[in-house]
Amino acid sequence: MPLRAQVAALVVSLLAAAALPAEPAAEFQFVRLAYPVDRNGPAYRRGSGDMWKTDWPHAEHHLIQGIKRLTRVDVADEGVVLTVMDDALFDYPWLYAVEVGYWHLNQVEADRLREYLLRGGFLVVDDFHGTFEWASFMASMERVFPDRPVREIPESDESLHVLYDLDQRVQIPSIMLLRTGRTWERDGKTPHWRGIYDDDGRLMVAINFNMDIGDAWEHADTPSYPENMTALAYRFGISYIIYAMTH
Amino acid sequence: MIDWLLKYPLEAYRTATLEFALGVPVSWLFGAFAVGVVLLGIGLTMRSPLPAGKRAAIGTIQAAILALALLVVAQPELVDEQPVAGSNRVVLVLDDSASMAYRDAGETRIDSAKRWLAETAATLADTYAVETVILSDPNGQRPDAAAATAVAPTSTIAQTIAALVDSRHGQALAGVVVATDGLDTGAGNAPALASLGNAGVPVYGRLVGRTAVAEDLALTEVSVPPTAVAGARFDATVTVRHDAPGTARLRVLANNDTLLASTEIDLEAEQTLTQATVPLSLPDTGFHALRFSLTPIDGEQQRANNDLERVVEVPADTYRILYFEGEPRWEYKFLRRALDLDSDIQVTSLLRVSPNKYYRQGLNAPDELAAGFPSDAEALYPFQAIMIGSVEAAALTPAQHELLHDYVSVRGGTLMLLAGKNGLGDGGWGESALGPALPTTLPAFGRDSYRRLPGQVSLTAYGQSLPTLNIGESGTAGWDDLPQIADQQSVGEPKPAATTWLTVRTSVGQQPLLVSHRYGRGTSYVLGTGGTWRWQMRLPVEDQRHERFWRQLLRTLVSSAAPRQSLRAVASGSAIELEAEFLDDEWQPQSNLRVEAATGVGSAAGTMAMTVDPERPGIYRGELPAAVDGVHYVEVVALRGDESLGSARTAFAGIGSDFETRRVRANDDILQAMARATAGAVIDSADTTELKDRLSRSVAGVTEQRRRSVWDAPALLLGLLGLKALEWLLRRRWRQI
Repeated sequence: MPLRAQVAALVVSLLAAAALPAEPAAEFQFVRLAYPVDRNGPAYRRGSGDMWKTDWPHAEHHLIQGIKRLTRVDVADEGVVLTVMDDALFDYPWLYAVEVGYWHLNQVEADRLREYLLRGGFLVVDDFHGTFEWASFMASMERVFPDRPVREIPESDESLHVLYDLDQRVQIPSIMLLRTGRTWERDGKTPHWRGIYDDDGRLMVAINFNMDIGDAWEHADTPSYPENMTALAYRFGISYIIYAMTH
Repeated sequence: MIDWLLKYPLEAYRTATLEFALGVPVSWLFGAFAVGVVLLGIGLTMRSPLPAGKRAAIGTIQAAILALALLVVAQPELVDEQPVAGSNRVVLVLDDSASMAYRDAGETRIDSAKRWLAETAATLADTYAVETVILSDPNGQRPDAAAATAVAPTSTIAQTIAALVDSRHGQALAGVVVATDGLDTGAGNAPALASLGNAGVPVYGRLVGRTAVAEDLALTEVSVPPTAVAGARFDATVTVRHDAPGTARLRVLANNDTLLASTEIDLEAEQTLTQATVPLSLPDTGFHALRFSLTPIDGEQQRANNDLERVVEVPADTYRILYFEGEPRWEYKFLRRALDLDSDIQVTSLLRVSPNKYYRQGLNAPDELAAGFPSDAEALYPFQAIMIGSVEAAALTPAQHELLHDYVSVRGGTLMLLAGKNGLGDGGWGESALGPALPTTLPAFGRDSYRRLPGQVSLTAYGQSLPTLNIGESGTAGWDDLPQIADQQSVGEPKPAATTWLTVRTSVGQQPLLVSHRYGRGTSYVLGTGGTWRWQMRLPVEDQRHERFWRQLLRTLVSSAAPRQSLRAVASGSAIELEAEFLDDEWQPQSNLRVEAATGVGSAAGTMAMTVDPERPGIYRGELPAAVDGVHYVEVVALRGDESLGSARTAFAGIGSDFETRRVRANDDILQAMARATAGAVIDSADTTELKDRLSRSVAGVTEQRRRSVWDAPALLLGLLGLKALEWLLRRRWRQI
């Protein structure tokens, strides 16, 4: 393993260990998944072995305040970072992974994530765009669920109505919007709310493709970022949490 | 020796009266005795040189001699009644019921009884007219008792003999003698025993057969709940009668074709009745005939008593649970998931997701619970169970607290409170009107009794006995290697009548975790954790223990809730007692109904009116004759005028094979009872002279007075001689002959 990859892995482990309390501090804990990247991929080559840290920690800080204000969920003040192989993974049934166009799960990690999801865990993936990142994301996800299809989440799906009626299918842009004026990145012009379901029709993996909900949380206090996009991102985030805690 | 000294048996002195043939009043005898004593005293005082003490001894002896002499002169006689030879009749009764075909030591009981009765008849023939009848034909339509076979299907011994004595009212009946194994199939023998007592004819019983039969196993009782939830485990309690230690194999078949259970029961040497619990489960709805069968052991003659049949109903109705939760949390999610695939239980939940918004799941109608938690009985009572999670009591009104209290005590529903940071004591539930209905005294509000502490859950001794808590594979307990739960909340002190099912050990010690008690018509539970979801997330997806825990626990909760309309059939002797209950929409008793039972059982086939129980409003009773085989159905309908207000249905199994052949162990209880009622006896000796002697002292039948002199009893003469010899010896010693 190249030195920089070893250093990256060490940083991931240290960060995860430092952020992990002995037991969940509250009923709901925002958990960010620290995943390994593809060593042959572009992120690794440019030295970004910690793509999972994107928007960290401000995105969850803002969202946690929103959860406190808008729901009765007993939420911890701080988020937690975990790897798939952490023993504590199964104590936290909700995961958030960002920039998953660069993640790379080996078969052992994929098997463990599949077990986590089938036991009742929930995964939200976010902030990846375009054909290349989709393919990269699916390369790992197909190791997790080789036979389980990815489907567009229909408007009638309960996950979009559990607290709010989320019938606004608007592309939530990243902060790049302020520099480029574009709501999309790469060739991902059309936003997709996709999902992977279990055998009983329950959503297990919520896939926010061609959008950046995490940026909308992170920049909730950025004056020039559209407030309505942050509000909508809050609603999606909270809906995923409430859905995960009820289904 | 005593009989010789007294001239007659001691028993004769007990039963006869003592009179004097001399014909003078007893007072004269006392007068003569007094005069004699005075004269003896004067004589001794004036003529004897002995010191006063020695004179008193001599005087006492002489007074005793005088008393005995007067007794002899008065000619005492024993006066009693005795049967007039040739004028009285004794009826010998041969039990020819089927149980008498049982073979003890190579001879059937009926043959043994015939032999003893024949000897008895021969012994009594010189004094009595002896008649032998068979129990199944006491009026002698089939007089040849010697040819009788043991085939009669019943043996109502006391009732038959009472009828026999009554029918011979005009005859000089000195006694009735019955030879039987005592296996009486009659129920309610008190009137028959009273009738026998009034008739004054002694009944003598001779028990034939062994009271302990080592080669026989008998399934004497099987107890099952009348209803069960589909797929839920329930207990059958079986009782095995045995007279030898060993192992019995029990099989349970459903509807004659599906093997539900097969288990071995250890039979201890120290006891003759062994109880065992068999966990069972029925997957399909409907009435199920369960046949419990003991595998015959070596040498077992009577196998009809190895089987019993019972009926369990699995109602087709879906049970409903209302789950009120104050905050989104993982326990809610995983509990619902555990119940998702259970089509028999519908969990309707009301979850407070934001400060002023509820999320509802498992609804029957779009507007169900739209106004929040129910405020009246009409909306709340249809649920069989209510669960309340991490929500403060103040979220409901005092009227709703009262409604919940009545839900348990009046409606007979099941209530469970779950732990949470706003649950149990921290939610103020202990101080609410619901507090008295709870099984524990919850910690006071404000004590912060909820902690996010991992803890290990274990079964109590009581919990180990509950099939509900067997969550492992194939009905095993499955608790030893469960992961720790995520949190724990003190449930407080269990109330005196409460039972603790589970405990939890955390870093702060061991505490009750799951506690229940009966309250009014219903049951309440508290569960001191909201963290059982760790079992689901910490165990492989194939491990079903978390799902089984919740499914089985919730099935127990809903199945123990009282129904609004119910019908029970309970076997009682030779009858089936029906008990129906009809409550109105608010679960109040309805006593002014016309309740009719429709059945196809035997002579009661058709429609039968049931009568209201004057002591228990809302309860209606009826009685059917017991049926022998198969499954029998009864349906009751409650009517007001021509309007039907509801119906209930039940089924029951016949008593298996006929009751007569279910028992093989001879039992003298009924013989003892008849003997006590009639001054008769149970004849222990095979020697028939004992019976003849007892009959000779009987006052029943035609009797004559008998006077037997006892003045010449050797004891009197020897007494006189002995006293005189003693006086002589004393005088010789004192040299005053």
